[in-house]
Amino acid sequence: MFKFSKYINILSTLLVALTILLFWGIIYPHHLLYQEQFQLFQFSFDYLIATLSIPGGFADYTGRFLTQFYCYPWIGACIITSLLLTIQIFIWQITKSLTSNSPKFFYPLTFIPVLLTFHFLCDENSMLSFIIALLLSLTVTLANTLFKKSNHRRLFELSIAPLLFYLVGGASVVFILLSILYEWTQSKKSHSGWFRYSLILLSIDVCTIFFFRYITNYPLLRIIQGINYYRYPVPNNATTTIILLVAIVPLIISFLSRHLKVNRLFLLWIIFMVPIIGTGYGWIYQSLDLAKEEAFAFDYLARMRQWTGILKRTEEQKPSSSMAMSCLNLALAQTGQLGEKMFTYPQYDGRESLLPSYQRDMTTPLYAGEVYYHLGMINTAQRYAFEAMESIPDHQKSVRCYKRLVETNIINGNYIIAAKYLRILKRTLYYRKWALKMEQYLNDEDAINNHPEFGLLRKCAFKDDFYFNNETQDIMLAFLLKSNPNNRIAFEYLMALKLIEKDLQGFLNFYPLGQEIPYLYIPKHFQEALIFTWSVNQKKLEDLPWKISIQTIEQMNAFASVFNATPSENRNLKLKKFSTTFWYYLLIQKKEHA
Amino acid sequence: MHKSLYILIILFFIFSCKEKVTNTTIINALPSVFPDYTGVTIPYNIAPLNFTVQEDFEILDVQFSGKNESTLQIQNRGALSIPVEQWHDFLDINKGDSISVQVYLKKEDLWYQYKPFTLFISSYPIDYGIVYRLIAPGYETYSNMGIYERNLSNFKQRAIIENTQITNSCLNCHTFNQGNPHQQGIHIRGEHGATVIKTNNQIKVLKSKSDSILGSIMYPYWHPSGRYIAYSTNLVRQSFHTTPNDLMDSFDENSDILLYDIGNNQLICNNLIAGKAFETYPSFSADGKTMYFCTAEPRQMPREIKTARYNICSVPFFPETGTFGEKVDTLIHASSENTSATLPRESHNGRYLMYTVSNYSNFPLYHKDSDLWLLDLQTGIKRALNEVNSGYADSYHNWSTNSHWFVFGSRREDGMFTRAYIAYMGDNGTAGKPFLLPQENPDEFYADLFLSYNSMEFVTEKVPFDAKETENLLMSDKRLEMEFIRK
Repeated sequence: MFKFSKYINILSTLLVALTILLFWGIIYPHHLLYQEQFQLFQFSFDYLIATLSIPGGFADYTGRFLTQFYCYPWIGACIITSLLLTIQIFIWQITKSLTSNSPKFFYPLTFIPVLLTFHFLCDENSMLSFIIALLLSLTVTLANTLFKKSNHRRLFELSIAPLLFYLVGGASVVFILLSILYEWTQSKKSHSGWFRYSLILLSIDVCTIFFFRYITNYPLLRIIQGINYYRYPVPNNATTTIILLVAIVPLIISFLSRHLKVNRLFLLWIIFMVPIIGTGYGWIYQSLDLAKEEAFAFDYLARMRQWTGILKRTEEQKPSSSMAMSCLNLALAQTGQLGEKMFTYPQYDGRESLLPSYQRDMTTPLYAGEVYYHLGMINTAQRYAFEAMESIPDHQKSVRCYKRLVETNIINGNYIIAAKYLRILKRTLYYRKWALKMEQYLNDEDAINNHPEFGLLRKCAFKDDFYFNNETQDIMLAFLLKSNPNNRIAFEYLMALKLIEKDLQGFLNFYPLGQEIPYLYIPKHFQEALIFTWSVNQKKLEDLPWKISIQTIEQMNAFASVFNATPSENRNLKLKKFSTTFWYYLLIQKKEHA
Repeated sequence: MHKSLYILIILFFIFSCKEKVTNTTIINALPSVFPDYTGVTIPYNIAPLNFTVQEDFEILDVQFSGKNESTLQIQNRGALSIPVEQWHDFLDINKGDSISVQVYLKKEDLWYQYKPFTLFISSYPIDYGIVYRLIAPGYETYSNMGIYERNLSNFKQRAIIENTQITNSCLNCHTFNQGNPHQQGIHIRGEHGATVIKTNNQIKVLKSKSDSILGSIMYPYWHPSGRYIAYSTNLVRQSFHTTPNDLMDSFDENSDILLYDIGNNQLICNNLIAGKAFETYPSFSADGKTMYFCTAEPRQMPREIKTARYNICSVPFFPETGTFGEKVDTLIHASSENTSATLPRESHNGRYLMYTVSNYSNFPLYHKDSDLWLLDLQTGIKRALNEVNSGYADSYHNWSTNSHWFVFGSRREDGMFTRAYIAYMGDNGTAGKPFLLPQENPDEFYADLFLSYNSMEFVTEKVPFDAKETENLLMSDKRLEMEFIRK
């Protein structure tokens, strides 16, 4: 029985570790990629010193060091798994040190804080810093149990407590609480001595907190809760709960193993294990945000210019958010299919799916900026990159934004500024090579003009200066076309914008701007719009000034006859086979969403 | 133990010993030093002018030579690093005189001698320090920002308040009464926003907004008596250019000037300074009897921004009653020259009025053409400060208390990040060549600094500001409401 329980505990840990690994590697990899872009870990002394200047700085530094590996999600998955696994093992080791009775059958209880931490990490704004802080606190707690002599141990506890607070921040309270608990188990003679000592230890922690409150410019609550455990500077109940659970679980196990006398211990293991794992996984599953994961995936592919990857992904699942739709529309435009296929997908968010408006957050300007960048609106792309970076709530800088700022400054010819950003990127692990490559373009006009992307975007740039206006995006796109009449993407975005806005008159007005774009045939949705306006005005099809395909004409006739013959309440169903046409979007889709 | 001690001592001597400069090859050119300190006039109490030479080299040897055969020789393997005390001792000896700076570089085992350049050591001291805001030179959003005090005699920078203390807040418009840190004001915007005014040991936390005014109060200027603060209230908007030459513009859709009576907690409105026109950037003359401000004809913004041109006007002010005279004079009629004049600042000795001229609008830092101008109030002669200006924006100037130094923001290094420059003002109204705010390792410091210097103000001593107390007051959300009156 003993051996069996030992192996089953190891096996259960390995199984939990495997599920965590597979979860991050398969289900949530783009959450890791999303996280990685919002930091800029530098191998520089100044960065180290700046990070270490606040309590918890060491945990932040280590967390950021590890987060940089998230750009390879499987490495990120391994990191998270190893950290969570180690936390669970350490909790178990600490628990064992607290009780002389055999607590093996209460092993499943040690998964509770781990599952909670796992759940915490599913939030894309949770920082690895907290996990490192927790782990370091447990490591020090475990080291503390090695001291057999009470005086030595207490001296260690009293001296390490302030240092640990400085290194890891608020999570160090785990060490304080577990040390107090450990001292209780060791205080065989007098509990009053334990009480006095506990007060001293707690006082030292409180004094440390106030010391850091005095020397740093952070509110007291943030210092207590951990400055950078969560990206947003708001009180975080999840971290507090995890900290308390990490301290309480060993206490509970210690209590149960002393007082719960049952014969069928293996049954006890099952009774604990099944509901803990079942409830834990169920809870995590319930709170999964797969729509967000999908949006992050589209954004990542757009960032990496993997246009076919985006289109391939939509074959499996149609995008369900503005963010994903915006990336998909960009991919369609980049592959020359916006006018062909845009209504194959649900353009339910109107112009936001096409040209997202600026929001004061760190995410929207990122994917919106991709669109403006590839259209050739470089100043807007630069502004959005800057705004996104400055909106990062924990004041970190972003590798993705730095890269974009390098690109926009090179295209705009601001080489001194580009060099300034490159200087920082050269201090990173994964972006150094890219930075060195980009450095070769500085001041080299020929190289930039011959670069497949920079050269093209320079040709697409505005020639006339005016102010960006989100309300008149059609006019801006028209100006972009005026600057370069061959800017096919700008033309397709302009036409798509008018179609999405259901502004057919605007569509007709701007349509001639695309006359210099060498189309073999008019894109499908543009044909649909053209023939629709023509028919609405009751003009003869023979007089059509555009080359509209026979299929489109036949399809429209079929659509019109079904539309006219069907009562309005049944149209959605009857016209479903036309759901990938502009006419369906124009006449039906709005009602569907209403 | 002894062995390792000996090794340490030997290593210490190896690395601390100066290499003798021999067999130099003479280069008939000035060294390309960064920051460009060649030919600048500096106060005798300024921090060491550390610099680097923008070339690859192994050793940099710099010899400063002054009067009475005083010398200071520094040798470094990287950027020049002058010990603060030695530097001050040396400048003290050469106060009111010039010193020669001889630069030697060792490259590939050979020494090169460059043409020496001169530094002029003024006998006029500069104030204790400057206070500025450091902020990303961005568009609308900002992450970390703070207001910092910098001791000008060394390299110490101290945070007065940072926005990590009051989450999501914007800190701006810190101001002092003629450099007196005991009379100061600061605006905090955001959820816990307020205007904090500190006079000696009293702190007032004011509600910055009022239904009676356009928006929040901003752009403060203390009356020399310490009884009043002039503010403007502006509807500030931003627009973004589409071509690379300019990135953005900031402008007012409307603006007025108001006077805050500190003692009576009254916000005084007068039609002369809060009329239909756009009025902004108030300031007082050194004697406190005149208020300067900028005014432009109302425009539809941003459509007519390029025709929004500000003139500098003055109006008599009676501090005893807190009232204004009846007539407004146009001091700088910039609009007639198709330019816009903003930010009037009279020197504390009452001799000059410095202001910024740009092509249009009232946010000169966004305009490459912005230059500093000087009006001699005795002769009435105005001129561009060409000895100071650059091809990029130069603006947001402030005078030292002895009026022999002024600090201003300039984007001359890269066109984007504003840096603090200091320049000398001679008795004859000629300015010296400006010099970049000294840093311990200026090359590294400025290359790694992605923040702009903003609103530099001189202070005569260390600023007594209790950031924690201010934080608590702001978080309490208790605000004193100003009484709005018309006079």
